[in-house]
Amino acid sequence: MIDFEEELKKFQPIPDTSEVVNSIYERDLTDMVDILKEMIKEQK
Amino acid sequence: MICFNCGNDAGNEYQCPYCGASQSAYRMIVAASNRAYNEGLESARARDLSQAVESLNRSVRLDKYNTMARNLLGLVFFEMGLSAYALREWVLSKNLQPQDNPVDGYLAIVQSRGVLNRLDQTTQKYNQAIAYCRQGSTDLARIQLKRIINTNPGMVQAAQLLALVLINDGKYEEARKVLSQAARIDSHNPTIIRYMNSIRSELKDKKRRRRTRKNRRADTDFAAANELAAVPKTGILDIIDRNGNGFINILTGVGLGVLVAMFLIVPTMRQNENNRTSNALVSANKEAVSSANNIASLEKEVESLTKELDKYTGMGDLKTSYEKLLEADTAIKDGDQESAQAAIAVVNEKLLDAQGKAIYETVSHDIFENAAKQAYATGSAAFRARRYEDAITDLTTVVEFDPKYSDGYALYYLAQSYENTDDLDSAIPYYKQFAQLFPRTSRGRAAASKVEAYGDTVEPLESEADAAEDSTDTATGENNQ
Repeated sequence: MIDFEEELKKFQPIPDTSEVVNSIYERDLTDMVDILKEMIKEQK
Repeated sequence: MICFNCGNDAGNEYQCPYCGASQSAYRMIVAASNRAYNEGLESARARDLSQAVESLNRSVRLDKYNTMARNLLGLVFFEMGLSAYALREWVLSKNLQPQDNPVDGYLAIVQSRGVLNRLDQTTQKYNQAIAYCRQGSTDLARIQLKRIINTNPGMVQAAQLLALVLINDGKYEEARKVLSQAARIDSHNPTIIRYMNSIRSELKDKKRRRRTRKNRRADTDFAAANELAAVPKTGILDIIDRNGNGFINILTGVGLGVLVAMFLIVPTMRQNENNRTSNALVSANKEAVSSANNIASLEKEVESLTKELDKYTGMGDLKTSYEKLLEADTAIKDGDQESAQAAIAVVNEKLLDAQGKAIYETVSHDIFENAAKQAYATGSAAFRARRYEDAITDLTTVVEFDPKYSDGYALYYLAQSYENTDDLDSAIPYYKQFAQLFPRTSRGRAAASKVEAYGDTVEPLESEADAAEDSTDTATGENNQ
């Protein structure tokens, strides 16, 4: 049996396009290659 | 191959000859990213969009420069109705690879023709629906979500929320339909699958409960049927015969029926009949009033037309009037007094225009003047011949035309004619008139003395009184001098 209140908590408002575009550059884009570079830098 | 660390060409070496960085680790990462991209692509093709998002997110986390994976991730988001996330991925893709990036086409489509505005409106409606649900206004939320799905059927999250609301309201069949449609967009969405399972289990329970109830009812019906089977079949006559008072009861029923008819049906029928009669009477009265009004208006019309007709009685119409006027004019010029008189009598003066009226005045004056001339000749001759009756007839015509005719002789002879026939009552008014018109003549003074002898007085006419006053003033003035 589904608990309505509990399920409802899982639904979060979706940001609109202006909010998302403004927050693009604040996003952490670190990928595995960046980590690898960091590791090589630390080894040196 | 370009070294990820220094940017120089490392060829096919496992270690960069320039910076010494291990190329094998980098190649493993790129390969893992590509593998994740391929998985994501497969999932997207299989309409398993949730799985595709997961794979493609993993791909770009391994290698952020995997533009193909990022572009596809944006496309999957867009398909799921998450346009803001799609735009985010495409803008990032454009920033990380500004040249030769197929994302330009997607961005051009989204940014044109107000697509962004429409998508934002849908997002706002969805957020509003969540707010309604949290406030407990699930009815409003349901309406809002249905609208969203109608305009944007790919918005899986809206479908999930709508299904949740419907499940909460116990509308499992409807919720299942909504989820089935959403499953066509995202076939392996875990939330959809979970909700579907829940619905199936609820429907199964419901079915089981219904079957149990049905079985219980069937058992009850069977027992009742058995009881009924035990009752022997009996006809109406059997029942009457079995009960000694049966016949009496029937008679009582018939009597009651008659009473009901008398007290309920008959008065109603009478009432209906009375109503019909009253309505007919009212309608007849209305018609009578209307007829009376019509008669009154017609009478008025007849009266006005009669008045109009009176003006023309004995007179000719316009054409005849002009013709007779012309005839009278010609006759008077020819000296035919009789024809002129007959013709002018038919002319209707009221129908003539100004010129016609002027001619009418001239012609009628001439006619009457001739008539007066002729009447005076015969009348004075009759007076002299002492035929006073004939004289009165002719001289009356002359005096009516002009009292001063022939210096008043016609008037004086008329008065004398009456006096000579011993009709002093008729004579005195003519003497009085003569005394007023000719007060300074010997005949005038003689007429005045006759009037005074008769006991009457002669009031001077206004013009004569003024003239007398003037002459008195002049005489007084002369005396003073």
